Amino acid sequence: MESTASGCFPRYSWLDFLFAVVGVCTFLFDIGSDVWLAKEFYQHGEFFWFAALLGFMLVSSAVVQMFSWFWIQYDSQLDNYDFQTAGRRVVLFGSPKRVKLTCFLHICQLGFLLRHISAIWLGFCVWWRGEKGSEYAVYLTHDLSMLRLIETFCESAPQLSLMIYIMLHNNEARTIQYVSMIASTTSIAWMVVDYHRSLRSFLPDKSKQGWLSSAFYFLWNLLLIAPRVVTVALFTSVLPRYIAAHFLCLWLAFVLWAWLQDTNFMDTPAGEWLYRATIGLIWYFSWFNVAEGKTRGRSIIYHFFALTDIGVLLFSWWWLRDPETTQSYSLFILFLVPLSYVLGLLVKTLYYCSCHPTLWQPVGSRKVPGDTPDGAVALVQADSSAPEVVNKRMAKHVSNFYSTRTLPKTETNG
Amino acid sequence: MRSCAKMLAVVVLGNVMLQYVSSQNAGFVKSPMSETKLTGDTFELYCDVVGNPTPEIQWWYAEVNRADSFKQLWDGARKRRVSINTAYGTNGVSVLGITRLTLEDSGTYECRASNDPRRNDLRQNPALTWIRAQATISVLQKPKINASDQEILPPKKPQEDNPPITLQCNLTNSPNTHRESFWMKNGEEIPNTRKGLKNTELILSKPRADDAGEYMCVYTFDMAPNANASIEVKAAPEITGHKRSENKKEGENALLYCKSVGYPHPIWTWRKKVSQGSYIDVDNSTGRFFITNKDNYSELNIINLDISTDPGEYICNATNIIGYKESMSILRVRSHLAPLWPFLGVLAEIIILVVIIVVYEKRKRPDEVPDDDEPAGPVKTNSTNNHKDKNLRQRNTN
Repeated sequence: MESTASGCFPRYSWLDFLFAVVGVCTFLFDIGSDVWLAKEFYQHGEFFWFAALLGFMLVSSAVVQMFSWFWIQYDSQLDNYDFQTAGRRVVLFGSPKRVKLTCFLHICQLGFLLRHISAIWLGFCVWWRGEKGSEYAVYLTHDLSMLRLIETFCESAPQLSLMIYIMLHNNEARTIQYVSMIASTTSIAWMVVDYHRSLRSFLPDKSKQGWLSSAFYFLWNLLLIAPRVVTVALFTSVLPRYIAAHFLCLWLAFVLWAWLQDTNFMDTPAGEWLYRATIGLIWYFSWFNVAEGKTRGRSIIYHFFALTDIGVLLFSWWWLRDPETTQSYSLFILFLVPLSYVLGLLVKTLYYCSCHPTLWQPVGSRKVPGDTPDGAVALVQADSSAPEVVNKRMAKHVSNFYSTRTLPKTETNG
Repeated sequence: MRSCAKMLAVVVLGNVMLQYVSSQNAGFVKSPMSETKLTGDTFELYCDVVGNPTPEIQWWYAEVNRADSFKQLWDGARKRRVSINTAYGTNGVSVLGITRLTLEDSGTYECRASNDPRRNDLRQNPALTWIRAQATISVLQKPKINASDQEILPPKKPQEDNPPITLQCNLTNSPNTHRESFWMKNGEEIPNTRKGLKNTELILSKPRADDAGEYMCVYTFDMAPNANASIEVKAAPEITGHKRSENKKEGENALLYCKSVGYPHPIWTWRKKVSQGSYIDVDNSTGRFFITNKDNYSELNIINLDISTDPGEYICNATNIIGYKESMSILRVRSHLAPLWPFLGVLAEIIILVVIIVVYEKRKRPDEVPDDDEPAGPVKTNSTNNHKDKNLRQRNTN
């Protein structure tokens, strides 16, 4: 019910349902192609790549299940949780009565799929049959978007690098490898679109963004992630053993940074460290705001570092490559990759200068631009009388993404 | 009486046993087999006899339909076309071979063996003392096949195909009816070439270097062995496969190879380029270079690569009577320290990053302290959200 302009949640619409269905389809397509490819590697005797592929899938699956499980635990401690589960056919999981079953399913790595199915089922009920529980359906979708983000960066991005590396190593590729690469790319692209949609859904109507903002978001992410993936693959093709050291060093540095930024996303210390470790992994491929407030400085530091890193990796590849076998594409890549990254940065800057909703006026309260994170969330909850459930995790990310960049001094008490 | 019977028994028994132990009549283990051959061919007959003492073997010959007049054969008979090899061990084995057969060599060949001590006594009938085994050899006139001359393929011009080549065989002067004919290349039958014609031809349209080889037209007969004629199609070698470059670390082994097509099979040489003039790779003074040549394939193996002397351009050269071809491979040797520089680069950038983020984050802390001092509570109670606090965890906790 969109009673006020300050934006209660939009209703669960057909578009949400469509997104949920397409999301699960891309997920299954990705998993299916990866399993097929792993079987192919095994049959051809390429055991190392078989192990690497399987390793990525298992690690990402384990991480996602752990996050899902943590969130179920946290949600079960929310006060109005019973409200959600009171709805008749709301959940297949999460109700306090079925904790053991849910735990077992998570250990079997089915928790993520279960969430997808819950979301689709609930969405279907809400949309097609018009039942209540729209807020909870939206809540589920937001959690799914987060999990999808984590799953993509833990699995699809490294796998894409691995596929490209194998293609460079063999100088040819089988059809299934192309299929797998397309599946991974689709997965990443879909995740970006889906995540941005979830972010946008928190915005009040007034600053509702059109498709243009989604297009910008998609474009700059594409232009920034692709060079990273390709550069990692190129570096691996010349120095296969050093990429592990490279990843480890960068990951440790990023976890340190996440710790210094004092993230506070999860409710338990164990969960928080899992979150920081995952953020470190995500930052290996793409920047992600995790702290509130002014993040422009951090963003600049990160992008500058990423550009330097791309430069170092590309240079090593250029110096140590085999000029004959790579002749056809080496010059092309040498110029395209940094150019793409710089272009991505330009698009991002353009977006932040023009499309980004920098000013949030909370309804009726302060004059100061709603910079504090609380303010943003308060915005969304301001006028609804019914107890609404806000996915606070998504809300946190939304505020990190949409918070303004004004001078730090205005943060003080208004 | 009794002693007479006893003596008789002893004598008979002794006689039998004596014969059994001391001598055994000759017998054939393997007899010569009859064959049909063509003129100009060669045949061999085997004869294996057993006996105690080891029997002597002789070869005798009778012309066709003259079974009553056998003549003995000796080693070197018929103008040295006959060869007899005999070995006496526990068995007696003899091989009779006749080369460059003519029509007059047809007839019956007999292997005779005997270990009878009286076998050479002229007063004895040889039919009693010698055992015999016979084989009939028929020699048929070899059909004359007129085959076209050898062909030499010209070097292939780019973007153009060579003109087609026709190989022809005509069967003349064949006393036998022939059944069918087919073509073989390098010892293997070419599919879809079986026909029942006397004059057969094989057309190679757009011939390339890999069409070169030894072609044979083969005629099959009902009652005679196959006849064939061979035509050679020669071409200069073309190098079809080689490694353009090889990158290895020091101390590893490098493998350079070259594959070619063409006939006759080329002779391979490997050279290493030194400035503009070539340089023969005889550098096996260090014992690390191994060359393996097999018909159309050659391999150069270098073990334990040395970064100072081994890198460079290597040229494999395939030469046959028609022409030659060369191709080049580049060998690069990476030193052990080569990956060190990128690694140092990465390390440096990470250290710089860590320093920057530590400085940045620590520098921001003092700015935020005033915010933190402000109690979080009152700010929130000003809003209408207080009662929703339970739904919302505080996020500014430090």
